[in-house]
Amino acid sequence: MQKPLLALAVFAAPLAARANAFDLFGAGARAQGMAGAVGAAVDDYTAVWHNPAALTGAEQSVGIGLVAAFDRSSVLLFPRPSGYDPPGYGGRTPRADTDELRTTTALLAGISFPLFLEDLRVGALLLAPFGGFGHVSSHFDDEREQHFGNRIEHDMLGERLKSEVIAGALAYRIGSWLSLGIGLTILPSNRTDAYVYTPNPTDPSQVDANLDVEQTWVKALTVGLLVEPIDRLRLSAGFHDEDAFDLRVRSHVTLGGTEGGEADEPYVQNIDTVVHYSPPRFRLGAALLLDAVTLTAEGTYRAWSRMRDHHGAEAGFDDTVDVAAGFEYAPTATTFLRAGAAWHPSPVPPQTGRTNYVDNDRFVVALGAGRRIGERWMVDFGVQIHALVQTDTYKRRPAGGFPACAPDVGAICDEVPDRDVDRPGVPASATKGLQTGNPGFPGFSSGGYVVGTSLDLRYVF
Amino acid sequence: MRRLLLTTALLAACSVERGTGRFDDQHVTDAGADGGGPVAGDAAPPEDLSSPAGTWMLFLENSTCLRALGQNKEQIIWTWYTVDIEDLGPGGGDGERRLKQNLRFCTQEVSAAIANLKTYVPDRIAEFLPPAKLEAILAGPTPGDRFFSTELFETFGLRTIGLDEPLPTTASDERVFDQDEDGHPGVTLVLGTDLCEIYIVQRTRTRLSGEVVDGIRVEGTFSADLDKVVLEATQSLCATANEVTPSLLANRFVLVRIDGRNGAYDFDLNDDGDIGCDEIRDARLFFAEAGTATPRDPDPAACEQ
Repeated sequence: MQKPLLALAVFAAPLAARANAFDLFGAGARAQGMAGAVGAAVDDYTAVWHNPAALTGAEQSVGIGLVAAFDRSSVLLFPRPSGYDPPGYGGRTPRADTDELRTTTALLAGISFPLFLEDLRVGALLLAPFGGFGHVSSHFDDEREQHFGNRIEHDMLGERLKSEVIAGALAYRIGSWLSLGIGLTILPSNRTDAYVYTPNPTDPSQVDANLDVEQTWVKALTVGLLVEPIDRLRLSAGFHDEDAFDLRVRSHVTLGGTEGGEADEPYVQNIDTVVHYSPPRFRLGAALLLDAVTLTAEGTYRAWSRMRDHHGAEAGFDDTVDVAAGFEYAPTATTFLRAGAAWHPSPVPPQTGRTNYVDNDRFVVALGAGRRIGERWMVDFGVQIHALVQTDTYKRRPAGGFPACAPDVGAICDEVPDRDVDRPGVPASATKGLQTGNPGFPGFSSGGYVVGTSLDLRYVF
Repeated sequence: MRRLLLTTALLAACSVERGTGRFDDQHVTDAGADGGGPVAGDAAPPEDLSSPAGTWMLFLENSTCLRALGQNKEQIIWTWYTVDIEDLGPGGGDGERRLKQNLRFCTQEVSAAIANLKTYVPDRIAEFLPPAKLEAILAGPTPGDRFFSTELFETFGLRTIGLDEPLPTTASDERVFDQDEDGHPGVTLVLGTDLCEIYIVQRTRTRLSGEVVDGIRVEGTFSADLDKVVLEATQSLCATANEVTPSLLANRFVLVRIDGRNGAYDFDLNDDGDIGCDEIRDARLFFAEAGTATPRDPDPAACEQ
């Protein structure tokens, strides 16, 4: 068994995929109703996500579902004091709160069945946002954002929920008490080379361009273990490698009118965008299966310290451990009532300096229900409410004055250092002291809530 | 119903309250402006310029064409000087007076031209430029009487250079030196907000020809020969070959008295008995707003040759 596992692991070496609604709510309505704490109790194709090893106990079934997320996370910017605006500040995009309701809907589809042997099972899972595949939206988390949206985006929510999932897994029951599973999530990605000629450099709207686009697949490895040491008790362990969508665009730009000059043409512009990074995570879970009641608990260690932001910079996050507990009660043989709760501490340290990464500690409550219809149909519903504990971020005045903005500067920084106060046309008073267009200056409040719902219909065959 | 109430209460608890920052408003006073605005003279300016000795501000508006990146656009160079004028006494003609002028370069601004990029001339350059001494002839004191000056010869980043000698093109040329003492050859200018620094050498030859407007102002035109070479740049694009030539439009100058005498405004804002470049920067804004020496916008037709 070791050799196939090793081979699959090597095949999956270039690991990358995107985070998604499953990361936030769990996969499937049953998991949603139990706060995602189902690694040791999952009993259908959603085991592909929660614990591939549990596929060995999954019903042979196929199903579809609807997933909806209502994101009302808010970032409210503190009023800017006067005297800190760089010359020309605010000329393009006004600084704005992030406070609108964002709704994301997606289709879930899954299947699980035995493969040649009763103890060897496969499963597949798809999460397809109705807004389309391959959605990528990046932003800067410092003063550079003033030239774009000029607002602060929640790094763990928002666009992250629009990501798709294509996953498959294979599981084998080694003995009556032990199962192993391994899987992959795969996603489309691309590398683009753009060859651009700008005939008139004073009018950048005119370009002639050729594109060389390479579609690639990015993969992330999942591994699971399911142990049943005694009757009614299950223990689970799982690993899901880091996920990120790495979009690389390289533009080769040549300007008209510079022929024969000393310019180093073509100019090469490298745009590396890392979107929706999720860290390696390790899960441990337990489930107690009583006659009409199932109790579950799960803890997840997330190595957020490896986090890279949208432009590939290390974000300086902290590792976290989040915990969840679930409860399922079957008052009749065909009816299931579920509840759960979870606590997800934020990995984002206080953003007192240049960066504006936003996240909040989240308290999760979950409710759900299921109904078996006849012998072959099952319908499940789950809802989660994530309450984001409000955080107020205050930018701090660094000791020794404000440094000039540069790639390695972590403190709130001065875009127009005082050495340049003598710029003609700009009164000196407009360029002395701290001059920053950082949308997060002098601070911001973040919080709000996110609601996730799922409705699944499953057919056992 | 209880579940609905619980949910509503939970979501209401999640509403976000906006905080307030911990930074106070920042007030920074302009250097040189501590003493407040200029003081108007005691009386209305006389019509005649009978006593020119004193301190003046010279405003030059030099219209050039910049040819680069396949474009040819007007680029205006505005320069402000302090001018201490000494009356050397009568000249050869009736009512004519000989003047000695001591010019100090204070600040220069360049209009945006190609790709809407401005060239910034740091004010610190003024600290490193020696004053220039010129002679001038004032043909008479009444409005319309002519005013001529000898040639103002100015260089940036050059030790020695002849009037028509080709400028050096490399930083290693022994005629080039680090005039603004920033570790780079020639003089450092900034292109765009922070696009790049360019290290240049430059020679200008300027000769004023104007007439008396009233007792505190002389206006006119001037001839200007400007040669500039970009020796190096922090970005290769900024070192792209460019050419500066005179435009079709005339250059303009305004010489305005700023020492409070004869009804002029007094720009000795810090009361130290001298009008320095800090004060000239305030005078510049004042006279631009007053319409006395207001920079004009570039003219698209100025370089359509």
